[in-house]
Amino acid sequence: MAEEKSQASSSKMLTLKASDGVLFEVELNIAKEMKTVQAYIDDCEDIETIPIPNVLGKHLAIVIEYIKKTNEEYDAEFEKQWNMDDLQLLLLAANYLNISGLQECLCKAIAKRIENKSPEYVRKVFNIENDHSPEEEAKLRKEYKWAFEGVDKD
Amino acid sequence: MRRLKNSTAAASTVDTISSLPDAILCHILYFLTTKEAVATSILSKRWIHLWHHVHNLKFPDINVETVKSSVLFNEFVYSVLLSREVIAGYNVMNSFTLDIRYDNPHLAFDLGFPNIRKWINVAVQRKLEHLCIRLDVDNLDDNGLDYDADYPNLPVSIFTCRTLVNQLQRPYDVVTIFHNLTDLLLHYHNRWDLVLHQCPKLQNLQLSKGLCDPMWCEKGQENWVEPEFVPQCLLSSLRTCTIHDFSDLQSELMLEQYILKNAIILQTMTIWCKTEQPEMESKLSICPMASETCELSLCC
Repeated sequence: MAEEKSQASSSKMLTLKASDGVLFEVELNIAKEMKTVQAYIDDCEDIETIPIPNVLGKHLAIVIEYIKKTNEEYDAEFEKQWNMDDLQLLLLAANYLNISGLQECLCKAIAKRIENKSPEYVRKVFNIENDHSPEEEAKLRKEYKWAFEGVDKD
Repeated sequence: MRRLKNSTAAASTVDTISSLPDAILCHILYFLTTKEAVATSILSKRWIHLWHHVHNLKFPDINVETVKSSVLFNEFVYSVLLSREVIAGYNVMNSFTLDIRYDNPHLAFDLGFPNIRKWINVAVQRKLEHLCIRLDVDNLDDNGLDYDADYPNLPVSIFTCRTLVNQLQRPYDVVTIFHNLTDLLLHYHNRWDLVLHQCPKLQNLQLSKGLCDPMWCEKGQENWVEPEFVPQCLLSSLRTCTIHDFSDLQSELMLEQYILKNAIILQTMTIWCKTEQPEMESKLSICPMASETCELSLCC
């Protein structure tokens, strides 16, 4: 009896389908934190399963957990668990799903990992290929000389 | 190729960052200092202009020790301001943080402050909301009366800035009103009440001694002088008050009692002390409070 009552009073459930087919049943109020999902619901009221084509199951699970648990303490510890690959993929997911709190948390986290590091280090961290010509790079270094002084070596 | 320690954890195995849209990359850059953000321009071609679209100026922990470093720094700030204007068009500046220590008064008063005033003017024009300025000048004594040792006047434009909501400052000798200021962190000064008079809508006040230079610490020992008029913000808007670095000076106790006595809608008064102060604690707890719902906490 009590179970039925809580079902009625709690939010409607929704199913989210990740890009790799993994299904997640979430409460409506959790799903609504993802503005992209909210827009989907607004457009098609009766929908029960919403496809999330850009996000892997493993990341969608993390995102849903974040929405449920977010607070100052949780956010402070949240980013420490993930490697750079996951951080960026989570950021892509947060951006696609339009979850501003998570996006901010992840941007801060990534910034923290590259602060006061040399450009060479940052390239390695992000796996970026340097497509500047040596002359172009020298020109930039000269134009904003002060920015390149006294930075940590790797 | 040299491997990083823990390279699988710390570094990306693929270049995911390039598939993030520009707006997100700028959001990441927002949390770096301006120096770090500008340096990303050499990461790759894509990153050349990204830092131009970041809506803040952040210069924490700047040490200016020589004329050369002063010139280099000033040039840098100007070129950031100008190139953002050119590349990004009219550019909104959400926040401006400037924390500079000058080695001597000449660097500060002659080479530094006139330029800082100009930068603040620009920031204000770009709808500045958060301003944090801290300026320290070493070796003031060496030049005695050559420089007016009071801190520089803020440019007039700041007083008409309707968007300003947050400011860290030392008091300035100007009489004018911060219309929208709701949060203030003030380094303790014996004319603190003048500053409060300028902030009629202040909601959150923090008082701190910070890196107190000897001249100011001595002033703190003076006897308490009760303000002639109660600042408006105490009577109508102040909700929280936090006192940092509380010590057992009588004048500090009188200040706290004054606030408690007059702040009608004060909700919390938090006092941070370095050591336990049981005497002060008991004196404060029996002090009459204007606000019935005020919570007083002493923390160490």
